[in-house]
Amino acid sequence: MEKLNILIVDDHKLFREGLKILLLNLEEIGEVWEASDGEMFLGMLKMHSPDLVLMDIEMPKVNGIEATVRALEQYPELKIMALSMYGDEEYFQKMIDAGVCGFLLKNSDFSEVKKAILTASQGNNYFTEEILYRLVNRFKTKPLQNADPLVALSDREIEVLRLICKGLSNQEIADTLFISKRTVDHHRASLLTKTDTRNAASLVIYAIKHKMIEV
Amino acid sequence: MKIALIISIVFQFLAAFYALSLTRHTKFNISWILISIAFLLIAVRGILDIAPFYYKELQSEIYLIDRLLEISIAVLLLIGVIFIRRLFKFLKRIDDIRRESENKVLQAIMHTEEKERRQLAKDLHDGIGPLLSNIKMSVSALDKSQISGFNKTVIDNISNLINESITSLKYTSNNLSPHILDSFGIASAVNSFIENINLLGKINISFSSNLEDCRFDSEIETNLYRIICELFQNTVKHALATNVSLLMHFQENRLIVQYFDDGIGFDPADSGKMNGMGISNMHSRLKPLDGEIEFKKIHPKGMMTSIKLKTKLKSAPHGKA
Repeated sequence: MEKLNILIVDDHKLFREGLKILLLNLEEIGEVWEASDGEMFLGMLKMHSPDLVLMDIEMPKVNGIEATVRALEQYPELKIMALSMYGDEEYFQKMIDAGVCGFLLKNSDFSEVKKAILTASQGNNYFTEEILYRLVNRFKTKPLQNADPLVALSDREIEVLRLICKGLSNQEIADTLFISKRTVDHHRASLLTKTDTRNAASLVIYAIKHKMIEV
Repeated sequence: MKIALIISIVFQFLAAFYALSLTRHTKFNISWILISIAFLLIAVRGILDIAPFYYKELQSEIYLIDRLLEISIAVLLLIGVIFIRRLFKFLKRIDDIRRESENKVLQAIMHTEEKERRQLAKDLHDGIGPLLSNIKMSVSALDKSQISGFNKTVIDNISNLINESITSLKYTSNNLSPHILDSFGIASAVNSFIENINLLGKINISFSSNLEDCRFDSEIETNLYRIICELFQNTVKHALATNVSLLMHFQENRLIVQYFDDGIGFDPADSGKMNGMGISNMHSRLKPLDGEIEFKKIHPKGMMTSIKLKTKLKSAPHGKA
């Protein structure tokens, strides 16, 4: 397996350096680059193409939300994962809308950081449990206001959605359901269109909101 | 007769000197000077009253001088009193200015306190927070298979201590100044505050608002947030309530907050109690914002608090004017 190159975007120098030491110790990791704010990060993308970006949210100049939006406009294939001190729904929702492929809290154990990086690098989403728990709790205690009406999904699409939520890649879903990968691709695209979501991450949120899956 | 006259003359001189001494203490001392002169003239008139006993032949001249003195005294007193009136007006103005500046000092204190709290919360959260997180990550990255016995116990203990530090840092920083308020506005901050109370499960809270991501001036947001927190605290501490309902509504540059609880309530006129519950504080928070707060007891039980203030939106979510 090729080694993963990671770009850490965080304004806290000691945090960046500490994380870099830990990451470099992993055999799966190749290079680790650092950017101290969103602006510097956008500049660095011209020279480097990281396999995964770990993005802080609150930063001077260009914050994580804006940096994510702008980076994905230019490089739609880029994988960006939020790495934040804040687990509040507001931040979470904004980062998902910006298009991140996962959300990790800074106070995670390193084993979780590793797991998240590996999950994301395989093209899947990773959301830290605390966030999912908060989210589910929120929709449990409070009926959804002005929710988009549940669109009509076929049984097969619902099956695919559940597997996406479990973090399976398209190939794995194809293997599980005994269908071709191309069909899964097709289902995924139609799910995104029908639910008016922009990526798998927001699809997962959609499923949670509409209580289609148990977390 | 003579003795009475002499005594009155002595008193009039005393009065005149006393009035004169007031000039040193107050503004508009012209009025005291005038009044002193008037008293002196009255004393002179007293002396003139004695004169006829000795100079009977001058009676008509003395009478004339007496009349003239009487007129001058009346004029002097009139002008003096007019000046005293101005003096009182001036005192009132001083009093107003004093009250206003007291208010300004109070606002400045609150403003500075908020600013310091925000800075401290930010320093704690953004400065020390990532360091603790990094220590946690580093300790958890240690290869446990190579550690055993006493060292393992020590490391487990360190882990627990770090977790505890992170939790208490978050709690402290959020209490000092909720970062959500700064980043996402009043509705989000109140929502998150309510969620935390909900976790305790003691009271049912229903919250509805049309604010969404609307942003207002930060002074308005902070003061309103503090007031709403105080209302919840009063309910939790004193009211023995089971249900709370909070409504925040913004329309046509008017922001309205209504807060109900079904607790034992209190008498809004009972000032002793009001101070204990920070009610005067709420008033002074709203005063600079040109807002009003009103407390009403509802029958059979409960309290209603309504806050109204005029404000413009600083920024609105998409699709909202």
